[in-house]
Amino acid sequence: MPLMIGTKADQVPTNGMLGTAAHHAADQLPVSEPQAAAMAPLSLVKLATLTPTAVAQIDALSTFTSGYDSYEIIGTGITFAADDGLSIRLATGGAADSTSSYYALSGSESTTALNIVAVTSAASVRSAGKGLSFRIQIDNANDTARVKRLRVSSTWQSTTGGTPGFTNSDQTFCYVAANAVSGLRLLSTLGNNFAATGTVRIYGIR
Amino acid sequence: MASADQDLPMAEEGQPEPPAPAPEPPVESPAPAPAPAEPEPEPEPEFTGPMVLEWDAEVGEQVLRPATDEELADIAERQAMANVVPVPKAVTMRQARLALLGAGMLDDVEAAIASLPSPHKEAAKIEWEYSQEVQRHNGFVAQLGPALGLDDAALDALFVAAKGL
Repeated sequence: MPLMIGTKADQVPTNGMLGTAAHHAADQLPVSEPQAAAMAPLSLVKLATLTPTAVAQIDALSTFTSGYDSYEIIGTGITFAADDGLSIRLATGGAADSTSSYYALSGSESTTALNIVAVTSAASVRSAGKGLSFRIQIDNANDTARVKRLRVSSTWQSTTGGTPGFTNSDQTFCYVAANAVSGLRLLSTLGNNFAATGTVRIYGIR
Repeated sequence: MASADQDLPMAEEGQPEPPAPAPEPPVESPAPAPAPAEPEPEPEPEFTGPMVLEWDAEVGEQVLRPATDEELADIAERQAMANVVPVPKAVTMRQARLALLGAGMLDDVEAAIASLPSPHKEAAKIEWEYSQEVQRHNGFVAQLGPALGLDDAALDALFVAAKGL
């Protein structure tokens, strides 16, 4: 059956179908494949699940494929052996990129290239506390010519102040290396080990 | 065993050579000594350095491996950051004056300001007399530092010291 736009009142809309008879006088207009793809609901495909142990870094350097252009990385319940922070580097060709190819954006122009992306402040995540949960979005991962977008959102129990409080960070970064992104590395900002808690899940977005 | 020189008659000229002696039965070699036991391979020293948790996309599971030399260097670099005292962006004028007093330079400030060319001199005098705080990257500090003989590192150290006062 060809993909169609418009349904009759007694038809149940499915993927590839849009609208109802009440809104469309014309029945069943054909839809191209790209249109159908655009109409399809976003779906997350889980590519990896990592459960941290006492390690200095967590690598998923070759987990991305050309089959996805956007990714979502969700970390929950992460802590460190000592007070520390979380940073990331993206990987190209299976190797973490520590060149100055990252820019932190805060609504104004940034001209300072960084070699790492801070998901939290350094030494800010309280090791004995309730830990860190975060979400990282990566868009345009396969584009070798234009910027890749990173959106980093995190919540953690902080070390600042006499009474440990809770804090968050929501930041946008861009990555400008002329390579497709093949994965990422999670690392503690100050080099302490991760603790054996929590989970990191990596999804591709279709 | 006797030697051939002693037991075997020498062939004389014109006489046929005696038949060759029957080959000696093979000497039974003594039972081979048991081969020395191969030394047990020394166990690989347990890696006690930082480990890396890695997702093996081909197998679809996580694996542990020791950090490479390059990764160890990167980790060490990040660990060194833990010992770096951040330079405060600003200190109060009270803190700045106390830090300069402690460094024995408070009396030099007015002379340093007077040494600046106009209109920087007047601007610096206003900053010095009326500011509530001193920002590390204010132009006033950048001008006054060299006049006091302080480079960037010394100014950073002065701000760190001032923040604790």
